[in-house]
Amino acid sequence: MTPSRWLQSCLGVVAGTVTAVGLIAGAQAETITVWWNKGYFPAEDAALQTVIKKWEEQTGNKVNLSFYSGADIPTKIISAITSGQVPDIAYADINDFAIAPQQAWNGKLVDLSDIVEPLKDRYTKTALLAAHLYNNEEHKRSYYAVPLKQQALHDFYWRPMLEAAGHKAEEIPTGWDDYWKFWQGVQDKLRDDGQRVYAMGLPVSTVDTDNYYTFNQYLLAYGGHIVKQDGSLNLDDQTRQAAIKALTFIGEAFSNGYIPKSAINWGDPDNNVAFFSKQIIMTNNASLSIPVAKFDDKQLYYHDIVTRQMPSTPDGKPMTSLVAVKVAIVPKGAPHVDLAKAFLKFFVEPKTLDSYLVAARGRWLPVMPELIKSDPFWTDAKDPHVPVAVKQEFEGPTQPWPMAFNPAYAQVNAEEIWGRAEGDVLVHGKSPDEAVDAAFARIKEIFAQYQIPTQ
Amino acid sequence: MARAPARGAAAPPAPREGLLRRTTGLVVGGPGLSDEATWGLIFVIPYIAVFFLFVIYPVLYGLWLGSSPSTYVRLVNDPIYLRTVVNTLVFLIVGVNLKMFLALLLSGYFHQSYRWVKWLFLIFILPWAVPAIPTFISAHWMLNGQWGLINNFIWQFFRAEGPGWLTTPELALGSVIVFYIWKWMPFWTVIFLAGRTAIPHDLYEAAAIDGATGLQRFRWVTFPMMRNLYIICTVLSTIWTLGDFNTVHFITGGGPVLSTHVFATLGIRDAFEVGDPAMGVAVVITALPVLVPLVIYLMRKLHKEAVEL
Repeated sequence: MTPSRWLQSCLGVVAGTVTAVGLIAGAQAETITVWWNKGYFPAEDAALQTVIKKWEEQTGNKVNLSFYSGADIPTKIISAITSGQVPDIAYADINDFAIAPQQAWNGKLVDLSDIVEPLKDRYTKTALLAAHLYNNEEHKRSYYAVPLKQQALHDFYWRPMLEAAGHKAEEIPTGWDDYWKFWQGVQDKLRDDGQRVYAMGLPVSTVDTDNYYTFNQYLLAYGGHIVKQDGSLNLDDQTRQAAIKALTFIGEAFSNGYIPKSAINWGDPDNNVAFFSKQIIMTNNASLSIPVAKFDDKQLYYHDIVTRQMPSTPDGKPMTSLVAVKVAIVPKGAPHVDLAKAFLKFFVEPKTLDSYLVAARGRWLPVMPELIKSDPFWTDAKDPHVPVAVKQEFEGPTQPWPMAFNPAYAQVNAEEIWGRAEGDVLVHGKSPDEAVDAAFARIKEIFAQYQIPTQ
Repeated sequence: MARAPARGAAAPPAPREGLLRRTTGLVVGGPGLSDEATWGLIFVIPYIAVFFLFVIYPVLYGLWLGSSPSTYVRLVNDPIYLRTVVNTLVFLIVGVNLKMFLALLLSGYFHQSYRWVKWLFLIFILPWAVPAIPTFISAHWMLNGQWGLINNFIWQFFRAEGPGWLTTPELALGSVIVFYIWKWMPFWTVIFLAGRTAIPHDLYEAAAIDGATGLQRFRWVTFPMMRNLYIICTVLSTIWTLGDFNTVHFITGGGPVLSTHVFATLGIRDAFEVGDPAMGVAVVITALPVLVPLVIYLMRKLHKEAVEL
């Protein structure tokens, strides 16, 4: 065969294949690509797959679903947006903390107002604030994300360990100082019995989200408000003192041996692991992942693991919970924007959303208060965990995260400014004052890059 | 000057008209391409396309991403970056050289012909043979200060808290280097062992007749004969180690407090965790002043005409 004949044959085969593929694709339903944060336990993934199956059956379209671990999915999303090869829908647990606000600011997200606006009356105010992001390319705020579920920090402890130290649940104090001294006392007693356990499983690392959730919650407990509701930075003396007190509190517990030293390296799953291996007596977590992961073991779920609200603030007021709203985004350049919106619209229909959250065993709470009222699952008195979280997040005082008001705070999270401040105190031996001053200096620099005009 | 064909000799056959010329009229280097050249072109085009798509384009795109001078100003003002430069140098200088030197020494040990040495060698190369990532994750858990194997052992037997292998910056970087050496030393030992087998035995016999001790034989026979191989392997290992992501990522994760990052891990952190791809690329680009001279040196070494051990 001569080269010309060979080349002609090749071109013919390629042209035929392309035509055939095109005809087949044209005859088939459309397929959207969805990237989703892998759940902490299989029921979470199954819940999403059920929603997808229903949508596929209803519309005849297909979803090409990929699960990625919580550690991998931010990398996938950011590299996709950077390269322009994006999925139709991207959901990461960390979207609201460190991805969506910055990407909206850079004009990289599709405006999803046509999904959120009709549901405005159904969403909580916090959910709406979390999704109403500023686009610095178009100089406007809009709904660049769709709220799906929410979380807040709750405390968990082992009842058998408490009882082994000679205490009962009713004895746990609710005041800030007494509460922590109580757990430290439990550790001391168990250590006297030869157990190598730690009282407080508080993440103090520079990776993932649990560490800054903990720090920001305790900063709020001490009266610190870094971002005002108009989005401006507030580094006044009250906030500085609150940050110093929060760092001092954590630093003392760490240096006195009540927080495991390895907490300096903990990623999000690590306090769960430490808790399940009964190395820590109590920990906090910003979802119900700890108890619901043990749902199948009735002894653990209904008796041994206890969920409780946080103590009151150091000045005796009820603790205001920082509520984070988990959001899905559609990156600009997504091949099937309309279909992606149609899927999200289906997803956030109250009935669908509720079935998804319930199938995920209530790890995350709804962002629509009507679901709490309409579905007895959320208030079932027999359940020792879900109603506790519902009471805290829907009846107690709550507050959105600061990045709802200014995307700069998402960058503060991404750079782990507060984790670094904790590290400065716990590892590098700096005083809390020095660490706070260094953190404030960097926060000022970051906020200078995110100037939102007064609206 | 071209010579005219001899009288009476048959005229050489005219070159066949090339495909490109026939189809496009394009003339490359005077006459159109012969069929042979066209076939060559057809077969090389996929390689060139892949090379451009997966090598040239990403490199240029990376350089473009990291082309803003302001990014480098931010980078050098970042204390984490400065710490990373030091870590990378320590990792390269201590880790690579210690590993290579120990591998050279051990290759002498494993060069012995006893049967039990061969069995021991089989066990010795296991760390290299097993997959890297699970190994480093195991190391991470083994070194955990509270529930890791080592400190639990110390607690069980001495009722004392063990060292903070992963919570003290110096110990954490030291742990990374130890496990890096443990993982990769067997590979280089195999290479050096192969090099030793190529040294003529006559030289050792001559040295023995002259009364050379073991150390003297190493100093005057083994090392001179292995010098080139040792240098090339060390440079190659340095280049590979400069891009090593797994060891640090899976053992310390860059912690505690971002104090054990090297270029490869900080680049990923800045690009994807901090969400600043330009900064991530800039971190990697700053490794080029180390990387490029090493590659040039290696190429020159490999271009020697005579093969030297």
